[in-house]
Amino acid sequence: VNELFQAWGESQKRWIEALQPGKPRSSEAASTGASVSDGLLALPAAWRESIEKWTEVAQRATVPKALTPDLLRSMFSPEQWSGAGAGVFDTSLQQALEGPRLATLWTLDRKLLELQASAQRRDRAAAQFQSLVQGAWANAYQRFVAAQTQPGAEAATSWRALADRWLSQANETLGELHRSQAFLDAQRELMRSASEHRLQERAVAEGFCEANHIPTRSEVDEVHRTVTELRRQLRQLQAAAALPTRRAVREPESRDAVTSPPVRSKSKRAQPAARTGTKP
Amino acid sequence: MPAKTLPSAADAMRELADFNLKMLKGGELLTKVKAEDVQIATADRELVFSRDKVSLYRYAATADRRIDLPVLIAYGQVGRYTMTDLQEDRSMIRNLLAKGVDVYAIDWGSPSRADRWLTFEDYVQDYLKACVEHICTARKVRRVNLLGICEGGVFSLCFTALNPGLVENLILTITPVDFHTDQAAQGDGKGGARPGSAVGLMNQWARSLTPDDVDRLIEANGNLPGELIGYVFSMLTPTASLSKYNIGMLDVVDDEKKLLNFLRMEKWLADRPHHPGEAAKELLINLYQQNQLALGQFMLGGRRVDLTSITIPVLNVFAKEDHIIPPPCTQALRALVGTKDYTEIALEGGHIGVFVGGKSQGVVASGIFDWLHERARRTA
Repeated sequence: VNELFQAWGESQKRWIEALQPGKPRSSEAASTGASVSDGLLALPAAWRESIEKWTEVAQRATVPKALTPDLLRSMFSPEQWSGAGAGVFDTSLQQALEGPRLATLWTLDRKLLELQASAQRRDRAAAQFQSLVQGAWANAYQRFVAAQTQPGAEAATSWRALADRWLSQANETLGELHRSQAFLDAQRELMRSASEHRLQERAVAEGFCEANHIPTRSEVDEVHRTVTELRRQLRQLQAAAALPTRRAVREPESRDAVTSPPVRSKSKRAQPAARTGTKP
Repeated sequence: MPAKTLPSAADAMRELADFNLKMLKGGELLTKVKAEDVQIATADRELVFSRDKVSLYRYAATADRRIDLPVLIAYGQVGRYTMTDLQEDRSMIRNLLAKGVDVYAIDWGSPSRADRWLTFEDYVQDYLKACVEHICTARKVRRVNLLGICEGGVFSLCFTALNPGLVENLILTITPVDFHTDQAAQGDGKGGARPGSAVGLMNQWARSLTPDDVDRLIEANGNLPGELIGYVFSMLTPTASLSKYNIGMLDVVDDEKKLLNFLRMEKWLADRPHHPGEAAKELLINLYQQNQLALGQFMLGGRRVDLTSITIPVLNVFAKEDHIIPPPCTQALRALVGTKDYTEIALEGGHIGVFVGGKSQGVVASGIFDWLHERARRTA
């Protein structure tokens, strides 16, 4: 370190001397009475020397983790990319995300990197979840085969009977899985990572919205919140104002009913859009 | 090796022929079925009140009135009230009407992201209360009979506790009350019960999350997505969800009545509304995770929901094979309410089966009518 500082100090000294041609110098130039033009001539040499010193400093200061051909080969190998978040690529992403944050510089880049990282976490969680489910199906099949081939087992007399046995076995095995702690943990991790990915998508989308004068999801949510709260306050005030009247007179129909006239209906109202889903 | 003889070639040929015939008939039937044949919730009704997305319907009488006070049905946000009138011969509402009951029902509508900030308090103390007040005003009565279903039962419990003067009789069906009781009833595998089989599926799923997970889920989606609720329920019978459109459908495809019933049920299942976000947080965190209702800690609008303040008659109807709301979760109500007039009706079947199952038709409505009629007679 001392050697580096000495080199740096020497180069700075030469540099300053080159920039002060009119002043007497402590070096040999002073004794020879060098002129302004001599000083200007010395400037490129001082500049070159400074660059060389700094290059030397930079090289010495570099962490010994240079990119080797092997490392580059592994980085760009499709095998490394096939696994979600695998290998050096994932590490590089992590380092980029954990690097210093310089105000708003590269904010969008960082958001995109975080989006990529969240997608990898979600994919890993999905793979873990799927492996549990696949394992349960394999287990169900093993149990089914064992039950059908054990000595004394009754053979199914029709394809339907066989299918029913298989479905019953699969249902029982999957039911056991769904109540296991491993499955609940994997499911939670998948839901958690999917939520985080969705929120990260929103962060990127909101960056675009802000740049293009479009209201963001967060802003619209805030508006909805305000409307809901204002509606509550309005109804509280309406209820407070109506209280004396309500006590005195019982109206035949409420105010809301008047504003929403009775509509004879035999299920003629527009049905909401159907969504996929299952319930017991 | 299997001891039983395998089917002969003739058996196999016969089965194949039957299968082909079934498919042929099924194909003909399916081409004839039109959208209007698969309508649900078709009982004659009238929109009498609405606020925001909430609608209140009054059903046309089909018999002479035998109970004066109207019955208001409040379903939950998990699913839709149309299940109570699936089709003409599978309808709790029609069965109540046939017995001379004046029936109203609330439709909470289809919440969107704009409804994210609605809370339990909004549903109980604003929408439900407005519906009750409308009925009281329009019918010139002081109270109603309140019938809550599932989460709607929780709404009804909260409403009755906070507004005791507006409810004459409280009827709850398949309603969760103590969200942690199922853990005590959990099978350990030693007594023949499969480990975990008595645990409510929603209870287990909700308890596997942290409050922060729920917060982030709602923040990301705005609401509790209907598709996610559907997925959780589908885990109860995983292969049924996968096989109902192929193997399962074979059972009904050549029978018009059964086929239409199947399609109407599917229509109801597919119509899964989103649960408003803030109310979903209260449901999952305050109730499922923290069990605040049973512990007497649940707060609505700064007021504690005290179940001991419910002193009116209470009828609790539940399903013995309900794996979503296991019987202990709802039977806990007996010890929590302040009334001395508490009745239970335990029905065969599962969570929804008690309402739409062929065997249970009329049983729910008869039980409710008899119970109400007895109380009306006493009051008179």
